[in-house]
Amino acid sequence: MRITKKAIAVAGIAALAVAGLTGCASGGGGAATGTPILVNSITDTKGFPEAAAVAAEVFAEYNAAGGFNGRPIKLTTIDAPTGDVNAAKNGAADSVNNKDVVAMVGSSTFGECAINHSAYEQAGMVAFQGVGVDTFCFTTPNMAAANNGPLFDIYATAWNAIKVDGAKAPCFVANSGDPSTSYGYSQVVKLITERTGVQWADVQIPQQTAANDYSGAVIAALGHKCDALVFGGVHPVVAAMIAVVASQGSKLPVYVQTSCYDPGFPMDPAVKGYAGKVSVPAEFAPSDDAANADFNKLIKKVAAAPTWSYSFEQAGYLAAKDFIMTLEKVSGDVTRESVTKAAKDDATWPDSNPMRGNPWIFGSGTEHQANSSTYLAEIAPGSGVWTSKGPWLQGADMQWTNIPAVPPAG
Amino acid sequence: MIIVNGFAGLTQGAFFAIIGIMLTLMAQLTRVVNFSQLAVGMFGGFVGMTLMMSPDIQLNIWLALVVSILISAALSGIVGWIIATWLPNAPISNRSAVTVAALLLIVSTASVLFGANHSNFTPVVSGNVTQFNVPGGIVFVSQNLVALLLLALVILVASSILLKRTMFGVRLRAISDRQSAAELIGVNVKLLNVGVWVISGALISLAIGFIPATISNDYISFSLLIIGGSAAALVGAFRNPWLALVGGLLIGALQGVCSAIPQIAPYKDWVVFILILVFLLWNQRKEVWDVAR
Repeated sequence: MRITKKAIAVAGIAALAVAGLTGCASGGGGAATGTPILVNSITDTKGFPEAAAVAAEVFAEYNAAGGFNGRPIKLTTIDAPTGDVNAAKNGAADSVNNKDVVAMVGSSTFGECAINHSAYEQAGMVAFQGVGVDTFCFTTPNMAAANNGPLFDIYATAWNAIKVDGAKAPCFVANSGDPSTSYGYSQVVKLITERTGVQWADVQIPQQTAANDYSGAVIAALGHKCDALVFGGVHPVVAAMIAVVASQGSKLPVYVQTSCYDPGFPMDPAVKGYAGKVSVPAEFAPSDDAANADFNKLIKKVAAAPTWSYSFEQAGYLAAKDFIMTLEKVSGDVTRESVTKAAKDDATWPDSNPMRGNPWIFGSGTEHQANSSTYLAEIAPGSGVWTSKGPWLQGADMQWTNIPAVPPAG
Repeated sequence: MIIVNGFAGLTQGAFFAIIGIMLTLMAQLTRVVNFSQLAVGMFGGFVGMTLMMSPDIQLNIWLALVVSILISAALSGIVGWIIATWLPNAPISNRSAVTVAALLLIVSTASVLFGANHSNFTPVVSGNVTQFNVPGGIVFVSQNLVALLLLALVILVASSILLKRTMFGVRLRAISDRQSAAELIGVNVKLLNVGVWVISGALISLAIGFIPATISNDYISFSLLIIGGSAAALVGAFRNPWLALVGGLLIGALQGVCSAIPQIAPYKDWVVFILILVFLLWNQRKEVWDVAR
């Protein structure tokens, strides 16, 4: 038995050595071989695995083409499941305490921005969020997200219902997982009425519950004779809300957030069977847009699960590209300080990648609604597919102004 | 509006009732509170949904349901086999603890395998049977509600006949009440135990096939609907499955009513907790201090 174990160990070491050598060999011919530039990502690898995985592939391709002055970018993904505050905190502490980690890139987990933004600010480190989920991802000085986030998103959703499609008595139902989001939603509701002059027929912002069932709120809203329904929430929750609308014999137009813009959403039984129109302000160029050509080519190399969200993958791609653009503006040594300086230098920007509808800027601002455009798409009743409709709607055209993550003091 | 919401809650209530009935039967026959019951059904459901939604396979919905039932039955059978093999004489608390571990394992595995952006379960029936006007709105009677209620009644009647009128039922009751004696007279206790687990997994999976798309199937929240089902079973003291049916419907309707009243809507999940508390206090009402303690 001991001989067998020893033999297995030797064989294992030999196999690893061969694999290592093979790896070295395949990296030759122009591939970056210098000291790696370290970046970290704090990611819920079960809930939001897409952005970090795609960012890693962007870097792999960049490294294969020579990297930054011969130095590869090495992305380490730290797992922090949604709700695990300690994992998110420890991930940030490990990143901040390692001086060789120059920035955070592609992070995607609920609450990470609220938990860690102060740590990054104190450490003088910038974070290129992949999928920014909570409101702090968009309202703090050292973070800028590739995506457009829940507040801009729900604002654009409501704008779509009222100003694009002409709803006169819309209802608003959005579940909220934290006080900051509840506050943000209530501000959006207020601002939309101020700027469009349209009064909401009913507003329901139920707190997220263990059962994740918001049927009561939807039925209550329907009782107020709405002419359109603005729903906030992620795919399974919103699909269930649409099923409730159908079960009540209604076919009102439904307006959903970009978090529902994935190919599976129109195929969801509740959505596919819905007799009314479903519309979304997507945060990136739709999948059939030529702007995605390079991205579409790249993601074929990623070991993606069929359930992965296309827009979350786009977010990871763009976060990595934003970081590379920053890196290429660094003068002198690549350090955390020099990367932060380049990111916060207005002269570095914009990143005009056409996958977003507006020039993306990190820059010197103390808050970053860097992605502030949406592209309209809709599901015709029973079609089972998103149809790109356009045009790009810009934040400025929608009179968007940033909403703080917490109520102003006083 | 309260009536409309209360009635809408009945569909989820009927699902709670089926969970409660199954928990009661499992407690009686296998001495376990099976917290993994819904998780095994959820896992089977996701396998079926994946095969149905896959562009390469596009399995027919009824075949997908059959696959779901088979997977859930097998998974439930494995949990039952583990308990029957290694904890045959352990107290009910220890046996039930294994099902909590199974619940967590299944939820984690499902989350890794099926990802975050998944569709809700496709019901095999949909649409409304009828509708009628009530003060404050229109009440819709869904096919899902009717199907779940019928399934609950079928399980109740069939299990009652099986357990009380057949020799097979006597054997099943024997393995629960007098396991050693049953073994001595030649009853294959392990096989029957695992068989009950297999059927339980299959039935919960069948019930999931009838739940409406209004129920979001997020892994954790869906698996934790077992809490509402447990409260329903508690109404029947884990002994009377008919009372579990009443309990389930009551919980669903009460939660629906609560959601119609803005002031208490955020606390509608407390209905389950309050019902459990009331039942426990009621159950203890005749105990003297030392016993109650």
